[in-house]
Amino acid sequence: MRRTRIDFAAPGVRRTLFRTPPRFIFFVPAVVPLLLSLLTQFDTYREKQAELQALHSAIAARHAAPVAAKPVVAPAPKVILAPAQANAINDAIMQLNLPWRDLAEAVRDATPASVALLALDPDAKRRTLRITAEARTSDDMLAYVTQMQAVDLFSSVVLTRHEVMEQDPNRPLRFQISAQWELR
Amino acid sequence: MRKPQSRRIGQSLRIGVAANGLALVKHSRMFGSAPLALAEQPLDLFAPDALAPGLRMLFSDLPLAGWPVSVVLADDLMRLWQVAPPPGATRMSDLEAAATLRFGHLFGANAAEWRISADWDAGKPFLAAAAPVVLLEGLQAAAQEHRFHLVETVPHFVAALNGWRRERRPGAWFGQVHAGVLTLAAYEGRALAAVRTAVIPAGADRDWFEAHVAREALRVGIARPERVQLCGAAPSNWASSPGRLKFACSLLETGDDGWSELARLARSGSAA
Repeated sequence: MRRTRIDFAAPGVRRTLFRTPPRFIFFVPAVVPLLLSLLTQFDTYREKQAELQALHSAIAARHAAPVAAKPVVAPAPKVILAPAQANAINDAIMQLNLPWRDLAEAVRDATPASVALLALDPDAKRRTLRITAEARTSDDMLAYVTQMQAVDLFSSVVLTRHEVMEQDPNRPLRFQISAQWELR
Repeated sequence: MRKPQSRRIGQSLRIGVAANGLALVKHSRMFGSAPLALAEQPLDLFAPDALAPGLRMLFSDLPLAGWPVSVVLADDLMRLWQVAPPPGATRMSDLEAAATLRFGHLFGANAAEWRISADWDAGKPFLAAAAPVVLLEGLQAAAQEHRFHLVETVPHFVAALNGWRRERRPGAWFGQVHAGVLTLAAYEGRALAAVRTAVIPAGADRDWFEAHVAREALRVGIARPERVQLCGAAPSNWASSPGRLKFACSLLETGDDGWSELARLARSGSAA
């Protein structure tokens, strides 16, 4: 008949060993060589695993070798410049960085038909644009100055010079405006 | 008092715990050696804090450290009942809940004060037992104090069921007589149908026994057995006598072997 499995003792290794039928002791002579063989097999397995691991590492190292031999980039040689050269370079850079397109568009948009633009002379260092233009009358000139002052790009617009061109039969008014632009 | 001497392979100790005392027996699972009664200690287990000093006196100068120890708890300290698994039970918790509910229904005791262990089976009714938590904790504390290994704690009747399982016949009822109480496991085929307990009246003879078995079969609702196997101190006149047999009754052991009730309790289950 089957065992009735009612037991209030706490489970544990001792209880399991105690519950194991005594006849199992006769299996020990058969089980021990089996265990030893299993242990040997396991040991061999671990050795093989280690060899395999080493082989994988070697293959990985070989694949990784060309990447490791990447040519070393030599550091750029240090160039020592004279102050005059450095200033010249800085000026050139500033000139190259001049927002020329914005300035030209702003001036063109603000110039009415009654004013003729003669010259645009930018100074990158001072952020100043000198505009030379001609107008028929002084009212046109002042209106133009006022219009230029309303342009957002310029922080200050000043009329620096004006004169009537007597040689010209139409006697136009030639004037110069200095407009300082803002950094954006 | 005898000493357990040094431990040999397969040897263990058995402690019998009853309401009126404790007993210690040495037992060997190998080489067929007979159990040996080592000590007994009468006590009132229901007195407050009686177990720990009682066990101390039982062990007194016995070197128990390292021994595997089985404990057999007398049936009057336990609760035994049959549980029908709920239909469609799939988890252990379903069975545990069914056992706890049935325990509460049958005994009306607070389940928190009892620990339930059972021969869990989701397919057919199974036997469950409950032991007082205080008693189990007392035994565990004694194991730690005396440094022995508590490897088994079983009810007396379960110890007998397991102890005699090789002798038991399929379909035969199994009974145990101990301290004037008859505990019967009624089987229907190989399946356990019920466990019933009755006090044996003074002068109970074979007729009483037959009437009792017939009554229990009716009560459980199964056919009368063809054979009843009894262990413990059963009266010898219950054994089958030719000529007037309603069922065969075989006594697995005799009650006059010189063992006391307490020692017999501790020895239960060692016949396996």
